[in-house]
Amino acid sequence: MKSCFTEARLDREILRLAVEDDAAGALLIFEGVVRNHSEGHTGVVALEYEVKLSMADKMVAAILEETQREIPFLKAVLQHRIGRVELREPTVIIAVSASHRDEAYRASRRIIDRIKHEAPIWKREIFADGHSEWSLGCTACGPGESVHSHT
Amino acid sequence: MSKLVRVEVRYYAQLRENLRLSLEETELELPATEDGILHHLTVLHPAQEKLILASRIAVDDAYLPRGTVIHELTSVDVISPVSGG
Repeated sequence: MKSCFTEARLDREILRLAVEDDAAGALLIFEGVVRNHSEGHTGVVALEYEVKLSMADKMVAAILEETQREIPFLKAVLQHRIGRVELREPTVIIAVSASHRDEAYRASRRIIDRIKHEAPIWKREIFADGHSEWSLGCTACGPGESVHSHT
Repeated sequence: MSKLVRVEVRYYAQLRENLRLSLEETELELPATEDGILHHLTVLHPAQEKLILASRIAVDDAYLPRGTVIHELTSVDVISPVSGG
Protein backbone atom coordinates (compact mmCIF):
# COMPACT_ATOMS: atom_id res chain seq x y z
CA MET A 1 0.00 0.00 0.00
CA LYS A 2 1.40 3.38 -0.98
CA SER A 3 1.72 5.78 1.94
CA CYS A 4 -0.49 8.86 1.91
CA PHE A 5 2.22 10.76 3.81
CA THR A 6 4.81 12.61 1.79
CA GLU A 7 7.59 15.17 2.09
CA ALA A 8 6.67 16.53 -1.35
CA ARG A 9 4.37 19.50 -1.92
CA LEU A 10 0.78 18.31 -2.27
CA ASP A 11 -0.95 18.46 -5.66
CA ARG A 12 -4.72 18.89 -5.49
CA GLU A 13 -5.20 18.10 -9.19
CA ILE A 14 -3.79 14.60 -8.77
CA LEU A 15 -6.18 13.99 -5.89
CA ARG A 16 -9.08 15.46 -7.82
CA LEU A 17 -8.44 13.10 -10.73
CA ALA A 18 -8.26 10.16 -8.33
CA VAL A 19 -11.84 10.67 -7.14
CA GLU A 20 -13.52 11.61 -10.42
CA ASP A 21 -16.47 9.35 -11.05
CA ASP A 22 -19.28 9.34 -13.62
CA ALA A 23 -21.80 8.87 -10.82
CA ALA A 24 -20.54 11.87 -8.85
CA GLY A 25 -22.72 14.93 -8.54
CA ALA A 26 -20.34 16.52 -6.05
CA LEU A 27 -16.58 16.60 -5.80
CA LEU A 28 -15.21 18.30 -2.71
CA ILE A 29 -11.60 19.16 -1.99
CA PHE A 30 -10.57 20.19 1.52
CA GLU A 31 -7.17 21.75 2.09
CA GLY A 32 -5.65 22.36 5.47
CA VAL A 33 -3.00 25.07 5.12
CA VAL A 34 -0.35 26.69 7.28
CA ARG A 35 -1.63 29.89 8.93
CA ASN A 36 0.41 32.63 10.55
CA HIS A 37 -1.08 32.40 14.03
CA SER A 38 -1.85 29.86 16.69
CA GLU A 39 -3.62 30.02 20.04
CA GLY A 40 -3.44 33.81 20.10
CA HIS A 41 0.22 33.93 19.08
CA THR A 42 1.24 35.47 15.76
CA GLY A 43 4.41 34.92 13.78
CA VAL A 44 4.04 31.28 12.77
CA VAL A 45 6.16 30.83 9.64
CA ALA A 46 5.99 27.06 9.17
CA LEU A 47 4.78 23.80 10.62
CA GLU A 48 6.78 20.63 11.02
CA TYR A 49 5.05 17.25 11.08
CA GLU A 50 6.21 14.00 12.61
CA VAL A 51 4.27 10.83 11.77
CA LYS A 52 4.41 7.26 13.00
CA LEU A 53 4.03 6.04 9.46
CA SER A 54 3.10 2.37 9.77
CA MET A 55 0.32 3.11 12.25
CA ALA A 56 -0.88 6.29 10.54
CA ASP A 57 -1.26 4.62 7.14
CA LYS A 58 -3.30 1.81 8.65
CA MET A 59 -5.46 4.28 10.53
CA VAL A 60 -6.11 6.44 7.47
CA ALA A 61 -7.17 3.37 5.48
CA ALA A 62 -9.49 2.31 8.31
CA ILE A 63 -10.94 5.82 8.66
CA LEU A 64 -11.74 6.01 4.94
CA GLU A 65 -13.32 2.56 5.00
CA GLU A 66 -15.37 3.19 8.14
CA THR A 67 -16.50 6.60 6.92
CA GLN A 68 -17.71 5.08 3.65
CA ARG A 69 -19.77 2.56 5.60
CA GLU A 70 -21.41 5.42 7.53
CA ILE A 71 -21.71 7.96 4.72
CA PRO A 72 -22.12 6.60 1.19
CA PHE A 73 -19.53 8.57 -0.77
CA LEU A 74 -18.09 7.23 -4.01
CA LYS A 75 -14.35 7.81 -3.67
CA ALA A 76 -12.05 9.53 -1.21
CA VAL A 77 -8.30 10.05 -1.09
CA LEU A 78 -6.04 12.10 1.09
CA GLN A 79 -2.45 13.15 1.31
CA HIS A 80 -0.70 14.62 4.32
CA ARG A 81 2.69 16.25 4.57
CA ILE A 82 5.61 15.09 6.68
CA GLY A 83 8.42 17.42 7.70
CA ARG A 84 8.49 21.19 7.29
CA VAL A 85 5.61 22.97 5.53
CA GLU A 86 5.84 26.69 4.84
CA LEU A 87 3.20 29.40 5.38
CA ARG A 88 0.16 29.12 3.04
CA GLU A 89 1.20 25.69 1.80
CA PRO A 90 -1.24 22.80 2.17
CA THR A 91 -0.55 20.37 4.99
CA VAL A 92 -3.35 17.96 4.12
CA ILE A 93 -5.71 17.59 1.16
CA ILE A 94 -8.81 15.41 1.19
CA ALA A 95 -10.75 14.82 -2.02
CA VAL A 96 -14.19 13.21 -1.86
CA SER A 97 -16.70 12.46 -4.58
CA ALA A 98 -20.30 11.56 -3.90
CA SER A 99 -23.62 11.40 -5.68
CA HIS A 100 -24.83 14.41 -3.69
CA ARG A 101 -23.17 17.34 -1.92
CA ASP A 102 -24.47 16.39 1.50
CA GLU A 103 -22.55 13.13 1.53
CA ALA A 104 -19.43 14.82 0.17
CA TYR A 105 -19.46 17.53 2.86
CA ARG A 106 -20.24 15.13 5.70
CA ALA A 107 -17.66 12.57 4.62
CA SER A 108 -14.92 15.16 4.18
CA ARG A 109 -15.65 16.63 7.63
CA ARG A 110 -15.73 13.20 9.26
CA ILE A 111 -12.44 12.17 7.66
CA ILE A 112 -10.50 15.30 8.65
CA ASP A 113 -11.93 15.28 12.17
CA ARG A 114 -10.92 11.67 12.72
CA ILE A 115 -7.46 12.21 11.21
CA LYS A 116 -6.88 15.15 13.56
CA HIS A 117 -8.13 13.30 16.62
CA GLU A 118 -6.81 9.81 16.06
CA ALA A 119 -3.89 9.47 13.66
CA PRO A 120 -0.40 9.45 15.21
CA ILE A 121 0.67 12.75 13.71
CA TRP A 122 2.39 15.49 15.69
CA LYS A 123 2.73 19.13 14.68
CA ARG A 124 5.35 21.63 15.77
CA GLU A 125 4.75 25.32 15.15
CA ILE A 126 7.81 27.27 14.06
CA PHE A 127 7.83 31.00 14.77
CA ALA A 128 9.61 33.87 13.01
CA ASP A 129 11.95 34.41 15.97
CA GLY A 130 13.19 30.83 15.58
CA HIS A 131 11.51 29.20 18.56
CA SER A 132 9.09 26.33 18.11
CA GLU A 133 6.32 24.70 20.10
CA TRP A 134 4.63 21.33 19.85
CA SER A 135 0.90 21.55 19.38
CA LEU A 136 -0.97 19.45 21.91
CA GLY A 137 -4.23 18.15 20.54
CA CYS A 138 -6.84 19.53 18.17
CA THR A 139 -7.24 23.30 18.51
CA ALA A 140 -10.93 23.05 17.54
CA CYS A 141 -11.48 20.97 20.68
CA GLY A 142 -10.80 21.73 24.30
CA PRO A 143 -7.26 21.35 25.66
CA GLY A 144 -6.10 17.77 25.28
CA GLU A 145 -9.45 16.70 23.84
CA SER A 146 -8.77 14.17 21.13
CA VAL A 147 -8.70 10.41 20.72
CA HIS A 148 -7.16 10.52 24.13
CA SER A 149 -10.50 11.51 25.58
CA HIS A 150 -12.98 10.66 22.83
CA THR A 151 -12.58 6.92 22.71
CA MET B 1 -0.80 -15.23 37.56
CA SER B 2 1.35 -12.16 37.13
CA LYS B 3 4.82 -12.11 35.58
CA LEU B 4 7.53 -9.57 34.92
CA VAL B 5 8.52 -9.13 31.27
CA ARG B 6 10.98 -6.89 29.48
CA VAL B 7 9.13 -4.46 27.22
CA GLU B 8 10.49 -2.02 24.65
CA VAL B 9 8.92 1.44 24.94
CA ARG B 10 9.06 3.94 22.08
CA TYR B 11 8.44 7.68 22.45
CA TYR B 12 7.62 10.32 19.84
CA ALA B 13 7.49 14.07 19.30
CA GLN B 14 7.36 16.23 22.44
CA LEU B 15 7.60 13.33 24.83
CA ARG B 16 10.70 12.00 23.06
CA GLU B 17 12.29 15.44 23.18
CA ASN B 18 11.40 16.07 26.82
CA LEU B 19 12.74 12.68 27.85
CA ARG B 20 15.69 12.86 25.42
CA LEU B 21 14.84 9.27 24.74
CA SER B 22 13.20 7.57 21.76
CA LEU B 23 13.47 4.04 23.06
CA GLU B 24 13.93 2.34 26.39
CA GLU B 25 13.48 -1.08 27.92
CA THR B 26 11.63 -1.59 31.14
CA GLU B 27 10.30 -4.47 33.20
CA LEU B 28 6.53 -4.46 33.25
CA GLU B 29 4.19 -6.60 35.27
CA LEU B 30 1.65 -8.49 33.15
CA PRO B 31 -1.26 -8.74 32.82
CA ALA B 32 -1.60 -4.99 32.43
CA THR B 33 -3.99 -2.36 31.12
CA GLU B 34 -3.26 0.90 29.33
CA ASP B 35 -3.70 2.82 32.58
CA GLY B 36 -1.32 0.47 34.34
CA ILE B 37 1.34 0.85 31.66
CA LEU B 38 1.04 4.66 31.69
CA HIS B 39 1.26 4.71 35.47
CA HIS B 40 4.40 2.55 35.30
CA LEU B 41 5.95 5.08 32.90
CA THR B 42 5.11 8.00 35.18
CA VAL B 43 7.04 6.27 37.95
CA LEU B 44 10.03 6.04 35.61
CA HIS B 45 9.64 9.64 34.44
CA PRO B 46 7.82 11.66 37.11
CA ALA B 47 8.70 15.00 35.50
CA GLN B 48 6.64 14.01 32.47
CA GLU B 49 3.65 12.69 34.39
CA LYS B 50 1.12 15.11 32.89
CA LEU B 51 2.13 14.40 29.30
CA ILE B 52 2.39 10.65 29.86
CA LEU B 53 -1.07 10.49 31.43
CA ALA B 54 -2.48 12.42 28.46
CA SER B 55 -1.01 9.80 26.12
CA ARG B 56 -2.38 6.58 24.66
CA ILE B 57 -0.62 3.25 24.40
CA ALA B 58 -0.43 1.56 21.00
CA VAL B 59 0.48 -2.07 20.43
CA ASP B 60 1.12 -3.44 16.95
CA ASP B 61 0.09 -0.14 15.34
CA ALA B 62 -3.31 0.06 17.06
CA TYR B 63 -4.45 1.86 20.19
CA LEU B 64 -4.89 -0.45 23.12
CA PRO B 65 -8.61 -0.20 23.92
CA ARG B 66 -9.27 1.30 27.33
CA GLY B 67 -9.74 -1.36 29.98
CA THR B 68 -8.35 -4.13 27.82
CA VAL B 69 -6.18 -6.50 29.83
CA ILE B 70 -3.09 -7.54 27.93
CA HIS B 71 -1.30 -10.76 28.85
CA GLU B 72 1.59 -10.79 26.35
CA LEU B 73 3.67 -7.82 25.32
CA THR B 74 7.08 -7.16 23.82
CA SER B 75 6.84 -3.51 22.79
CA VAL B 76 4.57 -0.48 23.10
CA ASP B 77 4.36 2.93 21.48
CA VAL B 78 3.50 5.91 23.66
CA ILE B 79 1.29 8.18 21.57
CA SER B 80 1.26 11.62 23.16
CA PRO B 81 -1.63 13.96 22.18
CA VAL B 82 -1.86 14.07 18.40
CA SER B 83 -2.27 17.15 16.21
CA GLY B 84 -2.49 16.17 12.57
CA GLY B 85 -4.17 18.08 9.78
